[in-house]
Amino acid sequence: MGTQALNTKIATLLFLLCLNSVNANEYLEEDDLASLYGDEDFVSIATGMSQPVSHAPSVASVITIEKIKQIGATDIDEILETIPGLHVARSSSGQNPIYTFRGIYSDFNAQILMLINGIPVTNLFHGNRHQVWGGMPVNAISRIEVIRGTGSAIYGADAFAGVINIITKAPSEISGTSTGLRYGSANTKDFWIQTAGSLKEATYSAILEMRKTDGQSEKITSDSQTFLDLVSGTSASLAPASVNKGAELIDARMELEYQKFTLRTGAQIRNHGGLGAGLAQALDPNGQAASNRYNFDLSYDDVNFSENTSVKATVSYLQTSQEVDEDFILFPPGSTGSPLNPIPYPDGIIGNPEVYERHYRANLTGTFRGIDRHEVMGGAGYYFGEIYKTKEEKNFGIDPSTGFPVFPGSPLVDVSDTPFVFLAENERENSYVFVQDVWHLVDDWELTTGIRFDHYSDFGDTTNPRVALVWSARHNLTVKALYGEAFRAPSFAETGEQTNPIALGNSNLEPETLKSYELAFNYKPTYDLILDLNLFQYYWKDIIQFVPNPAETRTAQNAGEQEGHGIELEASWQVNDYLSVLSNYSWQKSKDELNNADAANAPEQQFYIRANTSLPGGWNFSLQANHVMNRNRAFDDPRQDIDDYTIVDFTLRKSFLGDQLELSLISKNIFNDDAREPSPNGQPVPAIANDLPLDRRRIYGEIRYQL
Amino acid sequence: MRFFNKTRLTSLQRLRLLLLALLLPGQLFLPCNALSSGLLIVYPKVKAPYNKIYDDIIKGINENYLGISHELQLTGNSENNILAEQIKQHQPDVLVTLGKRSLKEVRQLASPIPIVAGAITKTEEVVAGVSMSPDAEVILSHLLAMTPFVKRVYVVSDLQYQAQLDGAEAFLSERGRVLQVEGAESVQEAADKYLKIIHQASAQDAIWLMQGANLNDPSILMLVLKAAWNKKIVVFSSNPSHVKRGALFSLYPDNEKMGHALAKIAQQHELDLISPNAGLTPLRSVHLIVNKRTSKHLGITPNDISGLTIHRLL
Repeated sequence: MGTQALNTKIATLLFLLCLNSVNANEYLEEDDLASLYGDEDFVSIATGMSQPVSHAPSVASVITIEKIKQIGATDIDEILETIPGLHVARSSSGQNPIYTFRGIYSDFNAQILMLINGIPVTNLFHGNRHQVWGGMPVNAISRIEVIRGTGSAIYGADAFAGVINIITKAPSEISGTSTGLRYGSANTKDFWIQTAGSLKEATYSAILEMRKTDGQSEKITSDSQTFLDLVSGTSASLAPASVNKGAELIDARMELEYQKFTLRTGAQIRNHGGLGAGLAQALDPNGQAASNRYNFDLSYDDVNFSENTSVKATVSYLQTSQEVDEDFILFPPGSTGSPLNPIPYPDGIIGNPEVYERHYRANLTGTFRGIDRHEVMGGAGYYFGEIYKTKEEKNFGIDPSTGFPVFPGSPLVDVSDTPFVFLAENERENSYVFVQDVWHLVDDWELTTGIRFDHYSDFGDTTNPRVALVWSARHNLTVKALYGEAFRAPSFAETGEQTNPIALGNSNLEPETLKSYELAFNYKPTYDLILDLNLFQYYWKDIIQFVPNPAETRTAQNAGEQEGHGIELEASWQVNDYLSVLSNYSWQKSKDELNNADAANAPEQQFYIRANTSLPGGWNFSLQANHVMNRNRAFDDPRQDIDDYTIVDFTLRKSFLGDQLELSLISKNIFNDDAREPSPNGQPVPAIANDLPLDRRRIYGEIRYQL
Repeated sequence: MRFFNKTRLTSLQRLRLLLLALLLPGQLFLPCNALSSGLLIVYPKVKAPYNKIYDDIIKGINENYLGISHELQLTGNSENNILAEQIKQHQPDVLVTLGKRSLKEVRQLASPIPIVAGAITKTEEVVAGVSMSPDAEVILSHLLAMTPFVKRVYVVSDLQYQAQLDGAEAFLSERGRVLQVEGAESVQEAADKYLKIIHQASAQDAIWLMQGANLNDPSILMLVLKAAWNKKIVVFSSNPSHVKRGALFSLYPDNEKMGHALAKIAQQHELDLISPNAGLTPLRSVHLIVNKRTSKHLGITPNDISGLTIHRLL
């Protein structure tokens, strides 16, 4: 469809939107209640449907259910992309998200702490969410709190470049039973149902979300096999062909609240997950991954434990797996795997690594307000995590039963529980204590100091402080100066990977460290306009990189160093009762100190704008644009800088029967922009030369129904 | 057009019914209408999050009402037939209406069954019930608990709130404080009055942004908040959303307790202990919301607010 035709369609939509007659009586009752409470947002706060943001001294953003609907989000990544200073790049493997905060980019993206209801979902294998992440639907989400910058003084490991805390809906946020269905591009089907109720003093909720998609069909023109073909004289590469992003997922959550106790259980099941551009950057249309993740957490929260004390205790359990549904074909049939090997593998080179993890956590936090002008928070906790099982089948390398190389064409050999498996089973313990004091110095000055000590069974101790000075400079201006230190625990792949010659583990690794300085201004010049300006600088040290050895292998070392600085500017304007506009601009400049070059891959500039009109008669229309700019290549990458891109989306909603029924039309990338995320550099050439294509235009129809 | 009819019996209600049954012989000596045959709660279907307000009120009614309660949710306009059918079916002793529209629909039936109205701010005709607007005395008693140093309270209001202002004046006067009312009938006039107040007022004064006066234009509000910040004058509001903008505190209804109060009035009706023309009882069960930043600026830490439970801290 041409741009002109599309413009005509949008104009028609807008025209229809304006034609809609306003039924002045429809929301009379709501207007009456809204005037009593001030506005609808406040009704949400007052009735417990949403909680106000905690005023922790940090640079934070909160995205609520209402905003999630305005964004038209079908997956959590579409929400996170709207936050200033945060860009969601893509990994070649499984097209997993790389949450890039303020120029901090890495392939496995372990520098981010993602929490679900305050509990980390970090895996030991790569230190990220999971290699078979598979996305996350958004209908169970109540709000997302995103902290940019360090948070290790409170959250511990990995609260490094940023913290993403996903809060799921509590029973009080769900009325009765409701369900929804979305269908659209790439044969994508989403279904969800949620219910809540009460049993005597207990309240409960349950949410089920399901998705099945064929995934995008954008093509890549060359892959790692393309280069291998060139040097080996084979013609095995499947490129040009489309990446494999099909997926089936089920998310189920239950919550039970009884007096001061909250019990949450959840399951995230991923099946038939496509491997993106392939595990070894060689297209694999058939490989499919699976993951089963189960969580259980019980918390006790007593804000009036004694006159001046509140207490919160939490125990939690998380179990995760990375499993193989269909063989992972690292290099396609006909590949020799190496120019030194003259014999092709008729079934391709297959490697099926599986990882199974368990995580146990206990945490106790107390807050004491009994000292004049002070609020002291302290706590302690314990963590035990283990990769309790690794499994691997492969048709290359050494056969442990014979001690000889597996000959091309041989069946798969099980190397589990042998020295030839990719990763040995392993465990880690971590115990910690932390304390934070909020000191109300004088009327408009507040000083927050905090420190956390962590002991790790494998790499020792680390202590991380933070200091925040908050000045209420004027009635409408708040200034914060922040300093924080953070650490990132080495992943088990970095400490223990034993068979991949270009990614060998190193048990002597130290944690990566980050020191950051921030200056944040929050200014409300008028009743309806809020402006935020943040300035930051960080020093990222001991970056774990795979450093070349003399024998052409690579081993993990604390080698890299990066410095970055930048600004973020955000404006939120409620223009009138019907129209609101939110926009942000981010700029950062980061330097790879080791190579004296601009840091690679993260955008140096981003611009985002969203306008939302909410009209009587149940109409709601959102239009948003995201412009991603200036992504540098790595210092030794021969390619030209990757093109900037702009993605424009719209969401049109109309509710009927007093909100009982809602129909929506959602379109992503309406101008069909050829947006790409950087593919990794490689030696001697990048495997996927023309980068990783993002989804082109997508259109979804959605129906929501309150039973 | 659709409607929902629910009958809920909690275990507590069952226990109460059992007790009532055991007491039945005793009822012979009471007026025949003293034994409850139930309530019909009529409320409108509203979108989230407003629906939670009605849910909480109904929960409160069911917690405190001894008999059986039925619920009728109005989902469209002119549902008189359904309403009449439901009344005929359940034969309630009292009709409890929540919100303006429910009251209007029930009134149109001209039924002899007494009406108890909740979740409304004011009515054109007299009806027994509980107002959704916090009582002036309640908001002023919160003010004095939080800021006992305040000697004078300024308010800009039009004359339709005279009765409320008289009550407020008497309440403050009994406690040795002064209410200074500045009359205004337009936004421009209100702006002039607010300018005058912020010029006169000192750190021992407070400015009350009254609900419903339609005189609190956003630009005026920002002007007041700015001057108040600079001179450390307390600003409190009957509009909870002003707390987000910098007012020290506000109040909003405790909906479950409003339900308790409605149940009590309904039972008084059943026992003929209340006149149908009793009028709306002012709202006394409220939640307190405080702006932490402003309270610290004024030197009031939440720990100092003794005897008050802060429901929300922004």
